[in-house]
Amino acid sequence: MGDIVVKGLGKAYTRYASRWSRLADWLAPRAIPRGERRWVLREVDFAIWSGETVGLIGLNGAGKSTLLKLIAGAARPTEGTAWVQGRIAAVLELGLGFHPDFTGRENAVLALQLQGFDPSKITRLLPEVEQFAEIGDYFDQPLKVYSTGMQARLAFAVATAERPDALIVDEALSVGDAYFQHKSFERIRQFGAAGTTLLLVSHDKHAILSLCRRALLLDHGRLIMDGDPEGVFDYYNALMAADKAGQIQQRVGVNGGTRTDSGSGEARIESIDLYDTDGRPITVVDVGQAVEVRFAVAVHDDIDGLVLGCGIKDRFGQMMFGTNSFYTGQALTSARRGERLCFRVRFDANLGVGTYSIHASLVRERSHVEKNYHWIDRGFVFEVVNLSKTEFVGLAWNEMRFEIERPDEPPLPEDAPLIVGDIGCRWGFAEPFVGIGADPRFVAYGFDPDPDECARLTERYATLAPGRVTLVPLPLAGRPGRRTLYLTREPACASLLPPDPVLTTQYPALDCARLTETRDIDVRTLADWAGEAGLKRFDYLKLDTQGSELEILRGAGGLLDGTRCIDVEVEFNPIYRGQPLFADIDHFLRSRGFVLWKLTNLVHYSHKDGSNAILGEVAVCHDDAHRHTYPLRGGQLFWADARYIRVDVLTARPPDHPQRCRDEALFAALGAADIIAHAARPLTPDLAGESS
Amino acid sequence: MQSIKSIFKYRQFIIGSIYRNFQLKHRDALLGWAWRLLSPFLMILIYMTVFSQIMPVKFGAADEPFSYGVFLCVGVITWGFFIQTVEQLLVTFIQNAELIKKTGLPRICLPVVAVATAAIDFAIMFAIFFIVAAALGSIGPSFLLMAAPALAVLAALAMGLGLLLGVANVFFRDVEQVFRIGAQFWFWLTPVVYPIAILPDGVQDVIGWNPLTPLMLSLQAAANSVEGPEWGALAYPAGMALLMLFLGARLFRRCADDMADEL
Repeated sequence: MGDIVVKGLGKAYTRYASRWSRLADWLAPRAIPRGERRWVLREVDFAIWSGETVGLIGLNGAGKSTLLKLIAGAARPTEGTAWVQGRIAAVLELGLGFHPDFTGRENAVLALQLQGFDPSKITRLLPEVEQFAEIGDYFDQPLKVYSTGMQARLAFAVATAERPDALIVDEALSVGDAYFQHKSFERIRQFGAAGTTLLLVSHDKHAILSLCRRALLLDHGRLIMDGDPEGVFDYYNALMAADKAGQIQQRVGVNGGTRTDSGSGEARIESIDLYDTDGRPITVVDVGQAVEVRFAVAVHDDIDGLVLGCGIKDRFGQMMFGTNSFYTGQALTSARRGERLCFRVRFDANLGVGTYSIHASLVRERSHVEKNYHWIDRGFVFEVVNLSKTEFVGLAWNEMRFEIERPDEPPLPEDAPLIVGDIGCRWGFAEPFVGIGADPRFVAYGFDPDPDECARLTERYATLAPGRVTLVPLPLAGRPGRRTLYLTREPACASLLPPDPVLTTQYPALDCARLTETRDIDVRTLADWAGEAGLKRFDYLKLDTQGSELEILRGAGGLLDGTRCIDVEVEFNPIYRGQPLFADIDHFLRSRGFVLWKLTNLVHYSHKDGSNAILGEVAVCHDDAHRHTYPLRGGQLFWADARYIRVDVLTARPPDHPQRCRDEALFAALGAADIIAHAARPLTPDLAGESS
Repeated sequence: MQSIKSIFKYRQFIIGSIYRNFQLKHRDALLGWAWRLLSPFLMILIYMTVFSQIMPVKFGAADEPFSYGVFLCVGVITWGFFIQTVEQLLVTFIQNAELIKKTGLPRICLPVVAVATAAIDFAIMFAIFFIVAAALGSIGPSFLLMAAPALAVLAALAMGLGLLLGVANVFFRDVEQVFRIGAQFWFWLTPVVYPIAILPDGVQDVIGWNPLTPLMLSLQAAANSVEGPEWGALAYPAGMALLMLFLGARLFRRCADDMADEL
């Protein structure tokens, strides 16, 4: 059930010059109709089999909505067939044919009747619709008082009240607020998992990539590509860029003559391209990603000054930022005829999600008023998507760090269990806490995406510490959704990020991280999981997940508020593409009230000979008088283990303070005598007064 | 065949829509559903009392006290049914444009809802009239039997004409305007409130071409129970009704698919 088969599908609209010619056509039909046929969809063939999740993309006017209407039966094809097996539900545009005078409830009944449900079933489904739509008292108010968002909520809730065999979703979801979008996607995902065929239209790359295993690309009414979503999106972006580029030529042709001082042509920008830091051409940029714009410039006449200006404009033409090589002190004072130059401009795309264009100009000196060789608006169009940053609004990205001060909550009683978590627990972890002779107050949770490894560890701890170690076979990430897991030669190096092929082949020691296969998995956040498990805090967390540590920490939300210590692997050079580095993690954890205690297990990589020579000394100072040193060796620093502790762990407290007792038990298990000793330093009089 | 299947498949929607049509009329009224009975009852009461007693018109069997009231009620109620059916059909596709554009609802369901709504309205009104008139002793049970053929032809004519105009109205909104003005003339060119006998012979001949004329005469004759209706007179309107139904169905079939594009 749920197959969708489309064969030779076409839809044409007949356009008449006027109503009168249509009337003439009606009253006296001729072989050749008087109207002009315009095909919006032609010769579309594809089959979606039961349970597939397919994204439909295309520029505006490509025929996406028409195709969905034909499949949903809301319009009839001019030629060909669209056949759906089983019950189909469609969320097309807004509304679903709602009546403004009826209440939400009455409209919901109407829509359910339209789906062919009998009265008893409607009675059963109604409360679920009401609950899912979450519009409160408005459910019994006439629809005319609804906001667009509420209508979208109701429409979606009604259309998906019962799982259909096939679900078609137009961009209706983009009108809802983020919360409801999230909720809708969750339901769509559940339907998909339960076997519903899914056809989804969206411009949101993230939505398509996370929901769909296949994508169709429509262009000018024809199906031009059918394949994996990533590849199809790349092609789509190229198409979009080409489309925009076409517009530029048009505009220059039209406006070129009217701009008196523009485009005199002594030097011209031949091409504008965008690259990532690895030198690959891109059109989709992650928020904050480091990018490089390359301008190829050809000089057609000897000139005595050459300045390149470059700026980024949003889709309304508002300049986001820009400067030129005069202001950066790099103006050229001469260029010869026939010379070819390449300008590279590097910046971080600290932009909000949306479409942006690159504006470029070649002038003689600081501004185009004096002499303007060439001027290009919208020279290159790229899209910014948010893959790695926290949700934010606005046109520019800047990390906002919140610090929340609230009166101390009463410390946990001394005998409350100490909860420890190990994320990425392959090869075992819990011995220090629950092993023989250790403090029996510990409760341990281990997380690993590999269910086999979790089963093995469960067995191992079942005898060692019965009932106190839980293994959770769950991949964690910063947001729930579908992600790719990159499996590597050494299973412990598996990551949510692709390993850098250059590093893993050049450094034999990094061979363990070489990619072997990829697998799509469903990921969740730590906060989500803890919410279900009824867990309020982790006293201690260890993370080693090959690059996803930061996003997992972000996904932990308020769970971190009670955390005393975090051990996390930090990278100084990325082994995986897009991997957050030490600075990113440090930044985040400090914003959440942690301080770095120490870095250990510093791993340097160098070639076999020479460069690991002793370069000097590193010191550990207790105070100015006591200083221990050890030798520092060469080689590039790749990673280390970082230990972060909550600032107030170091607050001096009386020995019987419950928090201090808990900290001592925790840090004793971690073997961190140094931290215990620091916290146990004698109280200064004012501190004693404060914490008594 | 396909149409009957879709009507059955969407029966829940059809029943629900008819219910909503009535609900919509009364939802903001204090007495609510009571108006459904109250308003036809009051109307019939006014015709029967005011026109029969206070403003008596010499008419037919003058000894019959309520004869003009009965005459008026038969004419006005059946005319009302005719007009309401055509008007409902005239606007049904336009009013339900959203449903046509956004759902796979078979188009045939909409005229079914429109006709059923008008028919139920008429049935209530007619039943009340019959009870009141029978209680006053003005008509007997045989009236129903004698009125049935004319009512059937009237309904068929209304459906055929309504469907034809309703589909055309999707593409040419002028149809609605023209029909509303035309209906005013049509009312006075049909012997609804006056007996045809008061017209000059020449005018009577012209009005004879109006397919509603023989229908009205037949119904009024049945109500007055002076003589049995002339069945032969129904042939012309029945022929017109069949023609309208044929044209309406043909146009509907040809254009049903294009409606979504036009609306």
